[in-house]
Amino acid sequence: MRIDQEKCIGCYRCAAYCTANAISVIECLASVDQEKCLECGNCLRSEVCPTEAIYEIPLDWPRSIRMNSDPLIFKKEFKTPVGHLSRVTSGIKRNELMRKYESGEVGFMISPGRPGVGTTLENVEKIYRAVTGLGVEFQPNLVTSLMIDPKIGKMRKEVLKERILYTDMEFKTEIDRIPEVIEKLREVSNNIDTVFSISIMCRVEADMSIPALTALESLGVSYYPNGKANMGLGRWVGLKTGGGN
Amino acid sequence: MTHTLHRRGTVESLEHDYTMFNNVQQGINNINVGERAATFLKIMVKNKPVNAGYRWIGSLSAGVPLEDIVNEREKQSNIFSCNAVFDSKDKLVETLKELKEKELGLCVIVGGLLKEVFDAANKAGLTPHTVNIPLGIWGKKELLPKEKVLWITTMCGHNMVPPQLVNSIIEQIKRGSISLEDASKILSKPCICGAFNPKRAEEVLKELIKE
Repeated sequence: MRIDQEKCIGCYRCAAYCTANAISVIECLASVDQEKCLECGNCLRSEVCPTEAIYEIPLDWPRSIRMNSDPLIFKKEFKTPVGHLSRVTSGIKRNELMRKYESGEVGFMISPGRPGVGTTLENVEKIYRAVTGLGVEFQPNLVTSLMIDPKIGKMRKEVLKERILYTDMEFKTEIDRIPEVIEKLREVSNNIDTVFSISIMCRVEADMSIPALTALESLGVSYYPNGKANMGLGRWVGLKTGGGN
Repeated sequence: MTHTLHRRGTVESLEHDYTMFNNVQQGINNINVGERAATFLKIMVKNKPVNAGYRWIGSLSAGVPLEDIVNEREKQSNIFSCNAVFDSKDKLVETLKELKEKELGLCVIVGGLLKEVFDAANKAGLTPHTVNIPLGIWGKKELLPKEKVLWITTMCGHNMVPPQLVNSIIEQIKRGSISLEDASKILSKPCICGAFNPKRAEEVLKELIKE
């Protein structure tokens, strides 16, 4: 994102909308620190600038990765040498149809940079390397697309210093491997230059219990009282009759 | 994706915060998604959520008229979800009952205090299938803002409500420049999906201005 210095009047209203704290006043005019800017577009979308001084320019690779910080990325042209890069993974959203997580299995969703701190891809690589050593496989998305060697978690060198607001990294394992995963995440948590949010995903058993929570409690890992639940309403539509269960 | 997942707060604060959105899988239940998702949106809105939206065009709290949101969803074949947030479990139950009856075939995901969400599902005759439960924030936590500021900022899962906007708003309220209601509207506007809960934001702001 850029601020036209000819139009800016230094009111500084835009700064509050910057998700990266990248806007500062230099010699009475607002300016965007390009190193910090995550290209999320929030300052422009806010429409708080009285002179329409904020603008964006087409981004080249590897800076174009930062567009993943923009919730409206799908409306923009995206330059990348590795195909379309989306940070999206499906999580639990369609599990009644896709059966990605079944009884006895647990998914982990790790979101480096969330909430609102942002992350370099270098930090993302660190987390990836910590976990991939367990032999788990990440769901394909932005992060996996950037790997030169997914088995060891080696990322393309030119992207490591780029920053994004957050991304998601999702993988599945068995419930009895939860202690190993938690141990790795605890290790990397002490050695990372950002924050990351973690969540687990699993089937609800017939008796409405969630076995993965027992494993977490025994490890002293606390979890929130709130979360998300897939209501099991998804069904095949227009292809064949019958339920999704 | 975990956009409506990591909402922070105490149990008391989260008692009036239930999110809902739809999803589809290409090739399975995305046929005529526009029409079915528009119906889904209308059902949610009928039960008076405090906010609703569709990322392609925007949200009620961002000032987009409901009719525009519904029309845009109806004509689009993309799989972006319609979102809403309710401030009571009763509204959630009524919405779920109607969704069950309508059999739209869409995947429906509900966020909130899981004990209450499960109870609501039970009252609507539904059985939760899969859950996603946050384990908190790890790593360099000294980079985070004040906890109660996070209660507000985490209501936008795309992180478009920055802490400095919340802090700026608090200062304006303290100075008497804006009312609590106007403050929550300003904070809601950057959340284009409609998952931000302006009523809950007002309640949290009341606590923050005392600190």
